[in-house]
Amino acid sequence: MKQITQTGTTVESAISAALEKLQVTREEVTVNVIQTEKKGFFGFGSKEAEVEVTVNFQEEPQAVEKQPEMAVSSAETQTVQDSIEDAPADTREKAIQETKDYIQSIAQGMKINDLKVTHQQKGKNVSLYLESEKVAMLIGKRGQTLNSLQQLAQLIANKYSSQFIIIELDAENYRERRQETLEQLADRMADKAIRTGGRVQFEPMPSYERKVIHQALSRRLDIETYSEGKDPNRYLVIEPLK
Amino acid sequence: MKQLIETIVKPLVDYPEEVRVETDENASRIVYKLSVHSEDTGKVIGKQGRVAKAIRSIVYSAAGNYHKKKTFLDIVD
Repeated sequence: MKQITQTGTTVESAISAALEKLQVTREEVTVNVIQTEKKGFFGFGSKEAEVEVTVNFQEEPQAVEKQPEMAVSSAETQTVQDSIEDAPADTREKAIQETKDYIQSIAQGMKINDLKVTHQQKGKNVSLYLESEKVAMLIGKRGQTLNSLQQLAQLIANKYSSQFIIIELDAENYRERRQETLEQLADRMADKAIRTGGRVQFEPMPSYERKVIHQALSRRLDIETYSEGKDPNRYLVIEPLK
Repeated sequence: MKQLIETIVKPLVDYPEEVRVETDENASRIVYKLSVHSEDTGKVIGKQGRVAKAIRSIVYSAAGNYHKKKTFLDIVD
């Protein structure tokens, strides 16, 4: 559960600043107004508005739908495999199992004891799906923890597998939701670039998140997008075309 | 906490038995000092410190569960 408090000159501006920080839409959050703004006199006695914004993960329609579906497959693991690539399946199977155990033990170290990991395999791409009561903790702020886990999981998987595999971690459909918020953010930032007539910088993001933004904006002809800086601090820039 | 760091690091390295975590604690912060076999240092740091960054972000997010102090993770050799 992500929650931040934000101040602003008005309640509205505080909320929108908070939404930008969390990179979510207005529908995904609950807003609790702590303090409404006070005008004061020539700046004396004026008070900034303060709001508390909480992200509701549960109210996501997709997340709710997903639950019963996963519950039906009572088996611990479900494997979808490409029949063409059967030969090296052995080391891969082992690699996937080791990776799952690894994630499981880290989760336990974080005091998450009800974690369930299911996987789907398609060629060299392996998607792991995490389910737990406290899954928000595994996702972290803007998916930081989830991305870190994914990175480590990938290392472990490739330590055991003779063939290169790509691990993707997902929880509560986070990746899909993130893609939507990134697309919305991309649009907003593009509009901002046009409005201000100057370049607009994003904060550093991993390559696949930048890709989502590049793709989302590829159809707009009034701006151009490119990335600057070196990983892991590489960030995207939007510039309006004159 | 110490255990969490070990669970994260041990499977990553070639010499798991040489993974050591020491704590340096005072009133306001805890520093976990991680040391590994010299050949494994690169593995826990990674290209551009990528692995180190990943380990830290997991450790820091778990830290809130254990205590309210500021937590740091140093890799020492």
